[in-house]
Parts: sequence; structure tokens; C-alpha cells
Amino acid sequence: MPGLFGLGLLALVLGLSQPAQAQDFDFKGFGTLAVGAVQSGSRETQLMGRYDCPCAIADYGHGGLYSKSWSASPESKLGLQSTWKFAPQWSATGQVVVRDVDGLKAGLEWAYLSYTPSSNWTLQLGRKRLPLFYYSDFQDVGYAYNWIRPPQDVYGWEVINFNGFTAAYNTQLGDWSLRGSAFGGREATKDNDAAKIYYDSRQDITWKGIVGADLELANDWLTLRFNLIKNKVDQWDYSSGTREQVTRSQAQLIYGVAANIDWEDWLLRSEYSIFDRSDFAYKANGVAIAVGHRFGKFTPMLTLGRYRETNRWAPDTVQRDDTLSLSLRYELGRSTALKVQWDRFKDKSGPELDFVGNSKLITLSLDTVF
Amino acid sequence: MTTSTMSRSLTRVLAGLLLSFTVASAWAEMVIIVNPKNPVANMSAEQVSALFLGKSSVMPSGATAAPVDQQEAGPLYEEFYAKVAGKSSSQVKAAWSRLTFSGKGTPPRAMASSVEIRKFVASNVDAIGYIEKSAVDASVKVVLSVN
Repeated sequence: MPGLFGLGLLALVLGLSQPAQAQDFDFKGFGTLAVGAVQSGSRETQLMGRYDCPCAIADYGHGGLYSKSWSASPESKLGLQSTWKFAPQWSATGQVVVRDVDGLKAGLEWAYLSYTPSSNWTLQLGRKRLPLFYYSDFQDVGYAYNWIRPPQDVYGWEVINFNGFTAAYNTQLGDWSLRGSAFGGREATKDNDAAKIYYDSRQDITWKGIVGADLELANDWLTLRFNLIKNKVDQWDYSSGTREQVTRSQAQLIYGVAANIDWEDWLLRSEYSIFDRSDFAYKANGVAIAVGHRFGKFTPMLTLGRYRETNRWAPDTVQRDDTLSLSLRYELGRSTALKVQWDRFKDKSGPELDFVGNSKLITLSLDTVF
Repeated sequence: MTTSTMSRSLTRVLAGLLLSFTVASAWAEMVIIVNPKNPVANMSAEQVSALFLGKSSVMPSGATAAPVDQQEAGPLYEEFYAKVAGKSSSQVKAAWSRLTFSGKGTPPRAMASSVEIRKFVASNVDAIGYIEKSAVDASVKVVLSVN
């Protein structure tokens, strides 16, 4: 996407070249330094000849796994965002995120033009996060949530961004706020990172004809979100040495609901999501429920996650897993949080699928925004 | 009641007493103000907090809202978010981080003083802000009082 990358870079450079006091420009960032290690796990051989095991999946989307040796690579990141407001109703935003999952790389996560014709409507065109789940579009901003990572039993998919448009509407109905959006576009990935967990050879995956909508309703203690996305999938496999199309325009339907409660110092986070690929492979559902309580600067949480697949053509090769997580967030100053999380992952896949195996993972992180 | 729970409840009572003293001395009476031309007469705490937490960008009347904030280190900031939104300053920052980095909004601009906020609200029809009750004059309209 050289054009979009250029746009993002332009926004950043223009932003940076503006005097800091100019009100039409702002420059912000976020960062996560996370270190983790698998304490114990059942898999003894490398996964896909690539990942050392015993291992635990921390970030499906970017192919980030921890092994027995302590590492800061799978989840540490630094994000920089610049927004340039070049007319009263217009702005351009670019966001670059640097990761070290597979060597130090900078990725353009967001690069979009935004037009606000009225207080209710926002139209955006460019590169954005695909809002598959509640946390999708701010998954990189660890400071914005209490775990080290959103529950991976729900958040593990192959496409993260898309190029296209979004039309968003927001209004207030009594004590309820309503925010809805409709979006469309496509995303083509080369050497897909999530596919590295499942294939030993390169896979190129394209989601095309993406059409979707989401709706968020919130009052002061309850937030509900519903989403629906439909698209077609193309996939090319390189295992024979040449590029071979293995999936052609197969339809998938993704839908889900999230419900979050903040009642005094209690908090509940829950999400349920379905990936319906039954036309060409399988149907999957992921669910996560978390309960926590704020004690001043401390927020401990208990989270249960579960992922299940059904496959009517290959019922023995399905992925299934359960995760139990204990996490603790501590507010360290005005815009930094320190977190520690322990995850027990139970791999119930197969019997014909040789997956990642059971594991116990410990992770520490420092999350900041600036 | 075991010794440990007893000492815990004792600590809690003491902490509560201490807190009530500090609150009484440090927290001022506060009002949420809009422009006199704004048709909205009253607002609930939920409606105000929706604007300051970025859940909504429109007034109950349907008009655009332009919220302006106090300085984070200032005396009113923490009190406003605690009483009106029931949120700590780190919760407020976390909520805005979500919106800022996902293209859904930008936090209200912080102004240097209550006088500046009052002047801004007095000269902008869409504006909404919060100041000490003692700083109010006829140039602005009070839509909610917080004690």
C-alpha cells in the first residue's frame, strides 16, 4: 500500500513540521513494554518449524508466541499518531506502530481522511482497523484496558486492518449514547502473520468485499456492542514452491455481541463472537467473560475464555481451547499502568490437529500513553 | 468478627473520616455551565459525563457539543470526574485513549482557568464546561449543580 503509507507518512511529517502550539495539529502516542515466559507446557517440538515450544500464543494477528525463555518481542510495541486538521470539518490521521514480533518492523495501522459534515456524522476514508471485536480498534493501546491482552480465545484472527470507508453516526437518547457505523473495503495480506501459527509455508490471504456494521449503546454503567461483517476470502499457498490458490471467493459471516458493566468498583467484561465459514470449512465461536474489582490503584481480574470449532468435513481437525487468566493492573502515575498476568491455556484440539499444546504463561507489562 | 476484619473495618472508618475532612476542605461546590443561547435548561450527570468521556458529541437538544476541560492538575478535575462520571483520572485517560487512537474522538481541550472556561462558554454557543459555583456570572447558564 505505498499510496496509503505515503498518506500516513505525509500526515506525520506535516504534523511534525507544524509548530507545536498550532491547534490544527496534534501528535500522540502509546507504548507497551511486555515481557513474558512460558512456565510449563505440553508441546515439546517446534510449532510449524518456526516457534520454539513449550509455547503460548499471545497475539494471533501478528503471530506472537512466548516460549520458555523470557522475551519482550511478542507483545511490545510503540505507536505514534498524528492528526492534521486542515479545514474545519476535515482531518488526516496517520498511525504507525513499531513491533518486534518478527524483527523490528513499523506498520501503518491507520491512515485516513476524516470528514465531519455534522455533529452526528463522521465519514472516514483510508486505512483503518477492522472492528471485528470490541477491542479490535484499540487492541494496540494496552493502557486503555486492564489485561495485558484482550482474551485471545476471541481475538485470534488473520486480518487486522482494511482499506475502505466508514460512515459513523452518534447521538444521545436520554441517558443513553448510541454510536453506529457502517463500513466496507478490502485487505490483502502477503505472508500472513496469523497463518504462521497454522501453516509451515507462506500463505497470502485476502478478505474482499468486506461489508459490515456495528452498533454501540452505552449509559453510565452499561455498554453493549453488536457487530456483523460479511466478506469473501481468497487464500494462496506456497507449500509446493509456487503460488497456488487454495480458497477462492468463499463467503464468511462474522457476528458478535459484547457487554461491559462498570458498577461502582465492580467491572464485568464479556464478549461472544461467531465466525461462520461453514460454506467452505468450519464454524467457530469464541467467548470470554471477565470479572474484576477496583481497589484504588489496583484492578485484579479473573477471565475465562473458550474457543470452539465445528467442521462437518473434517470433524477431527478442529481447534478447541480454554483459557483461565488472572491479571492485575496497577496505576503508576497519571498515564502509565503496570500489569501482571498469568494464563493457563488448555489445548483441547484434535485428535487429528497437532496444535500448540497446554501452557502456563506469565507476562508483565508497562503500558503508557503520551 | 475476627481481629483482622475488625482492624480492617476500623481502618476503613478512620480512612472514611479522614477522607470526609479532606473532601470538605478541598472540594468546592461546582456547576456545569453552557452558553445562555443554548436551549438546554437542565442536564443529568449521565448526559454531562457522556460528553466529557466521549460517549457522545451532541447535546440533548441535538446540537453539537464543544466540551472544555479544566487542567488535569487543577483542583476541580478529579472532583468533576469522580462526582459526575464516577471515574478516576486514570479511568478517564484510559477511556480517551481508546477513542483517540481509534479515530472516534479527541478529548476536550483543557483551559488554564475557570475564568477562561467561563469566557469560552460565554462566547461559544456549543460550549460546555465546569467551574466553581463562585466563578459563575450572568454570561453563562448553569445546567447542573454538583455538591
